[in-house]
Amino acid sequence: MVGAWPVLTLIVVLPLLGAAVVLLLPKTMSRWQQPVGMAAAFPPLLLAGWIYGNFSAVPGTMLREQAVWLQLSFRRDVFSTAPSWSLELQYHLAVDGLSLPLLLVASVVAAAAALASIYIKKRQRMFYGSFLLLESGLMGALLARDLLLFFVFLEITAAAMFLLVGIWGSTDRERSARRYLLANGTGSALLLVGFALLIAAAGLSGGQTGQGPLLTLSGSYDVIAANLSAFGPAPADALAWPGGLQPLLLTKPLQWTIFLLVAAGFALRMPLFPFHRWSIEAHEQAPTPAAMLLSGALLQVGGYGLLRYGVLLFPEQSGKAGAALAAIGVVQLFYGALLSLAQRDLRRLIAYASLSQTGFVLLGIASLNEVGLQGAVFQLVAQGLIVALMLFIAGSLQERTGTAQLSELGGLARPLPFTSGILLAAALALAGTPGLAGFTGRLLPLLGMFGVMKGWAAAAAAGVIVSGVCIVRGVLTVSFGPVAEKNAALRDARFIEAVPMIALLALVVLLGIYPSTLSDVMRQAFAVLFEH
Amino acid sequence: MDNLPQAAPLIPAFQLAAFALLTASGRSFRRESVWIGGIFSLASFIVALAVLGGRLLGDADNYNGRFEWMRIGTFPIAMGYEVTNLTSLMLVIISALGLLTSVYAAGFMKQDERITVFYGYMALLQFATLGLALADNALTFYFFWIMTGIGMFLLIGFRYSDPQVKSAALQAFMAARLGDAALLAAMALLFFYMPGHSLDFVTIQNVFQNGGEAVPPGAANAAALLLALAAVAAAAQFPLFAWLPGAERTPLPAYALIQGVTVSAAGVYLLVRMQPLMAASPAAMAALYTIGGITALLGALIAAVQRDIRRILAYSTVSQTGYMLVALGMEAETACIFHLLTHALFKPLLLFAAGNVMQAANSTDLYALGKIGRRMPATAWIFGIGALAMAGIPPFAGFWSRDAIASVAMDSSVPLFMALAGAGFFTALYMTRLFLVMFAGFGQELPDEERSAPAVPAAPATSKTRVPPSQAGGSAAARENRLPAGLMLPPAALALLSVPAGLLETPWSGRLGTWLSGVYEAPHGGVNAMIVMAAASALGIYLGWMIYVKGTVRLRREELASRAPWAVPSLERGLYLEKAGRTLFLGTLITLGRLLLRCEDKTASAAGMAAAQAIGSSGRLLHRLLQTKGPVYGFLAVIAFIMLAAALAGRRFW
Repeated sequence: MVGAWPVLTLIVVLPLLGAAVVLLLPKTMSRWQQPVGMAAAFPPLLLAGWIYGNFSAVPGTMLREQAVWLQLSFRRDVFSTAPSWSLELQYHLAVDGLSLPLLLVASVVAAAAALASIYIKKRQRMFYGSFLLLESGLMGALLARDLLLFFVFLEITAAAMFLLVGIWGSTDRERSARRYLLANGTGSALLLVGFALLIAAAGLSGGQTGQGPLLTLSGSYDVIAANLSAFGPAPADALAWPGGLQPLLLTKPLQWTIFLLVAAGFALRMPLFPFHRWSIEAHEQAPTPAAMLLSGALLQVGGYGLLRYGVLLFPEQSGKAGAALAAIGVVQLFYGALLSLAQRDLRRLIAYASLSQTGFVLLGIASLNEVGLQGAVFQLVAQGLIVALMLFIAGSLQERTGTAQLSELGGLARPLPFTSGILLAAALALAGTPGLAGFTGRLLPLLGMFGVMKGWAAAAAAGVIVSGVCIVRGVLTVSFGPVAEKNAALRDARFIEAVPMIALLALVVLLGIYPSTLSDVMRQAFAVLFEH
Repeated sequence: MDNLPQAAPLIPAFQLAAFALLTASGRSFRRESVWIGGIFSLASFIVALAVLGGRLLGDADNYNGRFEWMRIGTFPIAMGYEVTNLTSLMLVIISALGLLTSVYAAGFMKQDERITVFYGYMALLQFATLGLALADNALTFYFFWIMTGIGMFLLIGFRYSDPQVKSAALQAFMAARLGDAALLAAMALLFFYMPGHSLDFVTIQNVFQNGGEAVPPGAANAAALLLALAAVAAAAQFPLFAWLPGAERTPLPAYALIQGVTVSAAGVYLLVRMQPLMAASPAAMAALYTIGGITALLGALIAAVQRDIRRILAYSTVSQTGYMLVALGMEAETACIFHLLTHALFKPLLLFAAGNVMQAANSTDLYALGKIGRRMPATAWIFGIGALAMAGIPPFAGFWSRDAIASVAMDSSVPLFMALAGAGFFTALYMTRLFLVMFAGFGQELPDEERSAPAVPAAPATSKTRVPPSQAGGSAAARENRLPAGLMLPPAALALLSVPAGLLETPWSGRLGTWLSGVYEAPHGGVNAMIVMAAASALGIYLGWMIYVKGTVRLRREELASRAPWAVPSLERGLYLEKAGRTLFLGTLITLGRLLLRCEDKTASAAGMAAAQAIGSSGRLLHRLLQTKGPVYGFLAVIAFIMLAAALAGRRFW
């Protein structure tokens, strides 16, 4: 019954509808803006949950919604023997074992972030409009199976996030919004060039029509993946296409160029060391819901892009770049942790700790074996949930104490035992406590690494020490020790704050105790890669 | 009887249930929490006893159960448990101590408004330690091992509003992470080199008992050294011992549990399970007995000058665990487990009895108690038994187990044996000092203001409900008969066990070893070692008597200070190693972080400026071009676009 509905399209469209409703609400009903805006963030979560419930890991049974969006035909005259060809833009959504875990975490974090928007007081109509637009873009980016469609969704997220940071951020919001735009714009430019080359080089597919063979040039992911794997290790003769219509020959150097462009584009967005600065500032300045989406969903989209458009399309190049990726991962692991130790602001501390944790994702990717890659996805999920939870708590502390400066916090476990308890649990989860999600996300990439690069793996194992210590030290600074006079009478979390905290922590515990809930789904994600 | 081993997972499961229940109830149900904690601990203990009983009555087959935790590709990662004679013994030790601490804490922590949280953390720690004992493979072990560290961290940080507690918790956390990293690396090495990626202990034992050819010697060596490092961090050994005595403000019942079983289970039991692998690496074995010997001696020496009762006992744990490490380094697992067992009896006993005294006198300073023994005779007797057991006086338990270690050491290395004998001497000396000064009030010094001020049970969080503290040094109000039975019963029970436990294995019978390994083990004999060790202990007690009662040997703390002014402060602070971990390790990291941050700030602002300038100037350039020759450039742009389009469209005609 539900199965007959275009579930994937609904995931993308329903937040947009919600945004439209919020924006069109008459002035007299302005008190409904907040409830409607919050409620509109939830349909993706419910639908993603439905997909998870009905997901089967058998390839070929995955959900898919496809339509031709725009077609430009260039028909040859009837006398020519050359085939006709057309340029096609597809609307193509699908979900598989790689996108589903990230879709789930993004929708969970988006729902939690929607609840965190109770702190937003000014220009609510516009806020929920941008927020829901961002959510829609996120979902679309994770579902899209067409390069250009993916790019469009990615740009939607960037624009919406720019608004969220620039309008509702704290004191230095405009500067950090500009930096955000600059970094993401550069990333997008690289990505666009890479994608354009990729389409030109590998986007051609053949077919038959009544008037003879028809060649279609499109950004369809499936076509490109098939072409790339057919060209395989040695680039086949592209002129095999009748008429030599291939706009570009897919040579080795071109493959490398595309791979590097795509990888650099996602590296800027994810972000990877040393392009992380904009992300730290955005975390500090962004309003709490936006910061949660930044670390809990946008980072995941970046990682997803790196996996799908980098590793899965170019396994050979990824394998050769593995050592470099591992090096960046280890450096980032240490660098993030060290800088996190030196921070004076709770949100910057969390941002650097998150940067440090992303190192495990890179290590998992660099190992390029099943253990490591699954670990990378697992870490993306775990990190998203945990860091979003921590940023949410940081926001609620900031709401109460009026500051995120570590020197003015301290001893908060006394007035706020519930919030501090959850914060401590989240910090322990991020530090890799077994029974909580961070454990698996850290264990698997390292196990994967030890199989291929012992040296980097040993360095990363040493990184476990600093990356755990930095976050726990920060949390101890906030909640342990004597409490300041002015904070002694704070009130603990309200019901609407407690709900997302408990929900996020419950998921973290579930994934920690029984990782199979997720790993079973992921199993087929990389099967393609290891068949050869 | 046959399915008894299958019930073994229930033992940790009860604790997990207790933890879940207590955590869910937050700070409410203060009175009920005691019952929840106690009843679940009792349940664990009963099942553990039943499992042990089943094994004693001849159910000799090892039982093994596992389930798939997660699957990667086609490769399953399993969690499993294993019931053998060794694990069943460990289960009984841990759960018995868990039960006793639960009973003791009911009285000791009664005033604390966070007692529910306390019992929750205790349940978590017991869950982790019991799981550790049952684990049948390295991954499961690692899982529970880290969880043990987290449980200790939570309990050490229980009185969070105290800044000292905060840094102690962080220190314990850092030591745990160090061990964590080492164990993780060791496990990952094994994962890749073991045949079939198997991580279960039985396979590891089989592979390495058969010479270990399947694994490259380099990898085995590295793994063994990493395991040794993990054990050193977890068992609070030199030079990483600082976190244990630094955690003196842990609630006392939790401290007893940590010192009694957790430290040894996490540090020593790990190596017992991995023994064949360790034995394959002579370097790791040498590291073990060297570090163990140094720690045993050093810990006893440092304990002799401390004045906080809790710190004396903590350093004593450090020293005693050193003995266990020596035993492991000498491939004498039986002696190691035996000492683990006896130490798990007398150390909690000492802490419980001392806790009663400190609570009655409302001070933790050795010199602030007065002649409290007169008012608390039963406690003094119980403590005395524990002290004799610890000092290694026959026929108490500590004598037999330590002798088992010493006789092995005597056979292999004279310096090592000397270190152990020296440690025995100092152990007897500090136990004598502790007993004489604490109970009989000999050798009084001025009370240390700093130490006598914060009273033991006075968690700042309880300030509302706290009973007004009795006056300073004011044991006037302290009377033993006011202590509830719950505070007397656990140490008394342990004292009763301290005598017969030593007879489990004597120099003339290898019964424990035979039972543990299933292979006949010859008695370790060694009358010489026995005589020397007993003489060292007796000498220590005699010297203690001379110093503190007679005053003929002038080596009291304050007298020592006048002769060698450097000795007392440096020893009192654990050779400054207590601070070193924080200042050296964390301090370096923070300084490095600040430095990098400054670099990053500079680069970022420079890069931002450059980018802004680049964009601005290109914008200005375009602006100027368009302003002056706007139409021209607009026209050129259109032409260029058309040319490009034509080039693309007409490509196939060329």
